[in-house]
Amino acid sequence: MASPTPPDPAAFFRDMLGQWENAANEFGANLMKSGEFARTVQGATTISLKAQEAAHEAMSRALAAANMPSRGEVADIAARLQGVEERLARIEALLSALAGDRGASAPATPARPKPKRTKVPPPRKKPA
Amino acid sequence: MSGGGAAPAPDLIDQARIAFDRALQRNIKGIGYFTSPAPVLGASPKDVLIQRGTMNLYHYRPMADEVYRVPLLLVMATTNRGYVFDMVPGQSLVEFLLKAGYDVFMLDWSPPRADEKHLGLADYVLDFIPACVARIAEETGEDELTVVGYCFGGVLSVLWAALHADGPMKNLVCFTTPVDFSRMELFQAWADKRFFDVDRLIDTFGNCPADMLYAAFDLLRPAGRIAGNIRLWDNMWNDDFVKSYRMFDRWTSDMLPLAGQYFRETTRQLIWDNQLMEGGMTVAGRPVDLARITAPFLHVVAEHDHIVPYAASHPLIDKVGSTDKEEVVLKGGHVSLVAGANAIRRLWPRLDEWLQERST
Repeated sequence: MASPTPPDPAAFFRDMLGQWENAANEFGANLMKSGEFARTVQGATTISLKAQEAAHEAMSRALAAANMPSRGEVADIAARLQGVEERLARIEALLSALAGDRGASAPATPARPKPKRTKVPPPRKKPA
Repeated sequence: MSGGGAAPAPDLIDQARIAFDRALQRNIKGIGYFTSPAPVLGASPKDVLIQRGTMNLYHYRPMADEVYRVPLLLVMATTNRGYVFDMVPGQSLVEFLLKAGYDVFMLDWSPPRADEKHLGLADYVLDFIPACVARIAEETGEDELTVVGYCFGGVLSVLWAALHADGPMKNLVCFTTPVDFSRMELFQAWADKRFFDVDRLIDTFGNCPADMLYAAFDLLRPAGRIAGNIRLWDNMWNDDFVKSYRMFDRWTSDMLPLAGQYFRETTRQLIWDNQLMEGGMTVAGRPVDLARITAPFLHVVAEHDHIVPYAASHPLIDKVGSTDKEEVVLKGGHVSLVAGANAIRRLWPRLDEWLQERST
């Protein structure tokens, strides 16, 4: 006769965690569906938006008065510069490739492979 | 030699030994977890064909000597990064498709800049996707392509397909794409028309902040993050679990802001007015009729999707006008449907099987 399996506290813990997660998610979902929750959350969001709107406007005025760009504008310029640099790198690689075609130095990046577009599906396996 | 019968149950001492060993491993590997760099994701070799503001078109380097004639364009959801399709070698849908002989392109998104707040649905549907389609035709010399859209990338794909019914699309595949937004109950609650002032939000921020979207997604599973962290600690001894956790945790927290006008229009037209389901959907004044989509169509939906519930995605199959159409319901959730062990086992082979004969 097989000996009974001793209880595994770790398995019990995992099972409890799963049950708690499901119950908490269900409770949260039901709470979210209530109009009261939406009203509270969106009310808080509106207050926060108003505060941010006021702060943003004040900061924009101050920066404009000092003839300074905002953080967002600097970040945008940085992103654009990065894009320009990447585009330049691609143009440079293309030019190198073209120069390579004419017998100049080898291209910096390997040419894009162009495999034949003739592949057909493998034959279907017949059911046994 | 095989042993007869079931393996004997581990006794209390064995269990204690395993528990002790795992506790030890947790401590050792826990230190490694916090000191090691995050895994490199989305590293399959690719060329950038278009980079214009928020829009990026990638062409992945082929991994087969011979490819199917019809190129394949993955259209990523606008809220997240496209590397969910290209996590790490061995767990990358892109790599799987390349090895299976597809010529793979991806329309991926960067965070929209402040000066892109004016971008609306029309820019995505009537400019970005057509620009990618034209560039792919130029690159491959083929006048047809397969479009594969994920989540809201699927919504953009069906809008484009319906407005270009005589266009170059040979096949359309959607992964868990919502069409009945009234059934996305938690999003409906979050964006309740009576209390949610979308205009004030966009007028204040310009674009819809990623933090706000992240919080909204987190609210769908309020206990998920706490339980996830406890599971991570419990499985810290398991390298595969930790690797997978880190990949998905990074991806889910790497959300993108949404262009202001685009967010305003999707909130009004889809979440509030449910126009794609009820009718009346327009893009730049052009009416959208999903019945005009007649290309072969595959819709893959997840059984346990908490973001796009089955009830929200299921009506799409009836809405499209294709005669060759199929809906496949697979086990898994919104993300595990497309990436991770579940996807490798279920979705990817199914997708390859469906595409093979339609890609020549």
